[in-house]
Amino acid sequence: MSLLDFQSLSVRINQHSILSDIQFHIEPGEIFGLVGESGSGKSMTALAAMGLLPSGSSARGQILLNGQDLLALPEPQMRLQRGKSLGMIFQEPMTALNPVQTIGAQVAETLLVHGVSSKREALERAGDRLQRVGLPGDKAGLGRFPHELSGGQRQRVCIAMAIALRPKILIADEPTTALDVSTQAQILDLLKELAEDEGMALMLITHDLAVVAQMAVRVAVMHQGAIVEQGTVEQVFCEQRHAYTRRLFAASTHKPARVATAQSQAILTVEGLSHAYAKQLPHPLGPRAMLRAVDNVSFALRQGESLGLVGESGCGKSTLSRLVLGLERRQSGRLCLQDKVLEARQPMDRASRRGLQVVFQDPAGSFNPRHKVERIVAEPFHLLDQRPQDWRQQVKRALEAVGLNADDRFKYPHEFSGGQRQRIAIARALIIRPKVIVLDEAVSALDVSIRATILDLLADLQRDYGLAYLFISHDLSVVEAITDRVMVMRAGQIVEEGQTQAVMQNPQHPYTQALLQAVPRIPENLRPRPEAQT
Amino acid sequence: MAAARRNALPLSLMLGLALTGLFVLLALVSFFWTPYDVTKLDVAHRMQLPSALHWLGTDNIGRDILAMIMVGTRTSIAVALVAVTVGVGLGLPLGLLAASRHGSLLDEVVMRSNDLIFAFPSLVIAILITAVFGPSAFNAILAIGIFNIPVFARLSRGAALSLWQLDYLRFAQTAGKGAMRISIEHILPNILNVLIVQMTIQFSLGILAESGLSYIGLGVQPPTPSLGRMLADNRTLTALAPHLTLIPGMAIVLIVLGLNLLGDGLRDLTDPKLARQR
Repeated sequence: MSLLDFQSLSVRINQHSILSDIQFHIEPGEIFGLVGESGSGKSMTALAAMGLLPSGSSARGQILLNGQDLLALPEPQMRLQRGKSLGMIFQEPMTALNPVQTIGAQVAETLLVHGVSSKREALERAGDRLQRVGLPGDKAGLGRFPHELSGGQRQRVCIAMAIALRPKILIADEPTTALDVSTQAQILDLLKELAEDEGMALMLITHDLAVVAQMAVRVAVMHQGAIVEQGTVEQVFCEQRHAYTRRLFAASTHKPARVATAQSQAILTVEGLSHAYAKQLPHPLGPRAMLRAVDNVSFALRQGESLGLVGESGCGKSTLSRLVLGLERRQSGRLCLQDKVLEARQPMDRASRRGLQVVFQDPAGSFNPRHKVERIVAEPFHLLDQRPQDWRQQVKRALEAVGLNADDRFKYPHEFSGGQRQRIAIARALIIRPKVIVLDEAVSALDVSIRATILDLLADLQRDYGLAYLFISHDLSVVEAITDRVMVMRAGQIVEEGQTQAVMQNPQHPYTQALLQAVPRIPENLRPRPEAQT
Repeated sequence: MAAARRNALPLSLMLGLALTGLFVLLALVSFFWTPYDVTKLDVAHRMQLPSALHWLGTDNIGRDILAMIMVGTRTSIAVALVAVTVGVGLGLPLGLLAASRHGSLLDEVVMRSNDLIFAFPSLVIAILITAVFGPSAFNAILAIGIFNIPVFARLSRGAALSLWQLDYLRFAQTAGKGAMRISIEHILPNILNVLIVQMTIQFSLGILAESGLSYIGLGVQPPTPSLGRMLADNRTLTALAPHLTLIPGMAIVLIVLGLNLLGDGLRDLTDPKLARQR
């Protein structure tokens, strides 16, 4: 008998079908991967198993845990199952923990709620569990608060909470998506080890095919609320029987066709750029320590070139982009745009700003929700002395250039999907024909298939307009796909710089090597067989 | 739950609009017409119950209560309105300015002066001001208005600060827009809903404060009628003629209730997230 068995599960919310006919099973101790893009219903499937579907939803079918139908259980009994038989961890370890409780108390709480021990015993066992996930479990370790921990450590605490009662199955919903690659590798190793040592099954929900390839034995591919294909990882990866699976694989390894447009002339030169923030005082009379967010960084971006900047969170790449964009006043260093030296003391002049535009990561926070697209895209015209006569025509053309409809200019940003919003952001950056566009994690929040189309668009625009890109990202595979040269940043410093191909294939600096090592990749033996690609 | 809230939404707005509209209308009409002259004494017909002649009765010296309510409402609304305008007019720009220069000396000065005003109980200071400068409508406005400034400064600064973190404001900066223009173009429309709610709350608090000041004789002076003083003048007669205090009391309650309902309804209307649900 399977451990967890989904039998034709269908979920509707307010008459909308969310899941239809979900059918798969997980064996004891097995690692099962559930892959799909956002909105495909992966999380909803997990929530259904946890009995945590949002209000207003109705589920049909069965979810059998050791033969017992979870959907039929009344809430008090379901509550007993949660934690005891089913554990769950979420994507965002930053918000999954209570900020005003110590981590020891939070892990112990699960034990106490299920009445398995006294408070003292619970804390003891919590310490044991924290040690199991690689955190100190002594008194000091138990007494730490979430804000004292890094993202990876917080995810470890979440795992400790989820496995406190040794559940038979752990559901991990995008457990590493919010983490850096090296942290991701550690957390994945931990999960795999736990599954093996404790005989615990793992349902791993992710959008990342490489992660599944590394971890899972069997996998199911979800699309629009249904499972389109499932089987062993080898079957699904090599045969790719369903058209959507093939599309997903193609998109995840997509490389836009680029023509080298880089010229020898530098358009943006940065010399000896440094910026430090004052750290919080240890005590009111303590010495003021400085955090060198950007430390003596120099580089040159050539006309028509695409330059990548990779690094993990906190390495200073966002500060660097803000300094380059003149959003923050730099403390030292020289910035030169189009042969014009930019004064550090004055705000950047409008003529220089005209040559430099930006696309941000978050498609939701990039636009004033109360403005229509036409007004949003036209905002950079403020940099001209007066708005051109034909500005409406120009907005139309810019929207068409990024693959949107001219009529979209009368809509509000919330009427668009994430990928479309990123197109609007690109249109806005393009409208005054800058020479340089800073792409600050511009495709990081997008699904693989949408990311592929946006990367294509960026490559096309670069060719058509001779743009230079400063492409900032934590994602090495994206940087590899779109850039000519790459810089690797760590603790405010550029540790390695070179042609993208050369750096990726033959990294010199140990940090780059470790970084590349940590990136999950689909192994060669799991690549599609030639006959599958017909 | 969600469905119930959606249905209740127009109701609160409409009830609030109806109540507020009624009193505003009464106040406006009083400029042109009142059933009797509010200063006319008619001792022969004093303390009458509501009748066809005097719709809401007469008070202890024979003044028509409806006329007094109409003019009293006008006074209350005028005082509270000007006080809120003073608060928004000074507090909002200060708050936006402080937010745009977050962490600067200016920010500190603005916020610490706010703290200073907040540190005093508002009604006590209002009494102090009217006691020092003499009781009058102008001083009541001044006293209530001063306490509205930090409310709006702090509110708009807080709301603006969270917006300053967003990418579209960074983008506006890269489009060469200055802090003032960004504040007006991007921040103001997005904090308007919280401001409107706060304005209606402060408005109703202003009406209560004006009534309170009048009750202890520090508001508008006789013969101009005021809701608060109607309560005070007739409080000894409550046992004899309860309608003398009940009617102005109810008037205050209904104005405040109407404004609060209006604020709720407006907030729901202006919130784009709620608007999308409808």
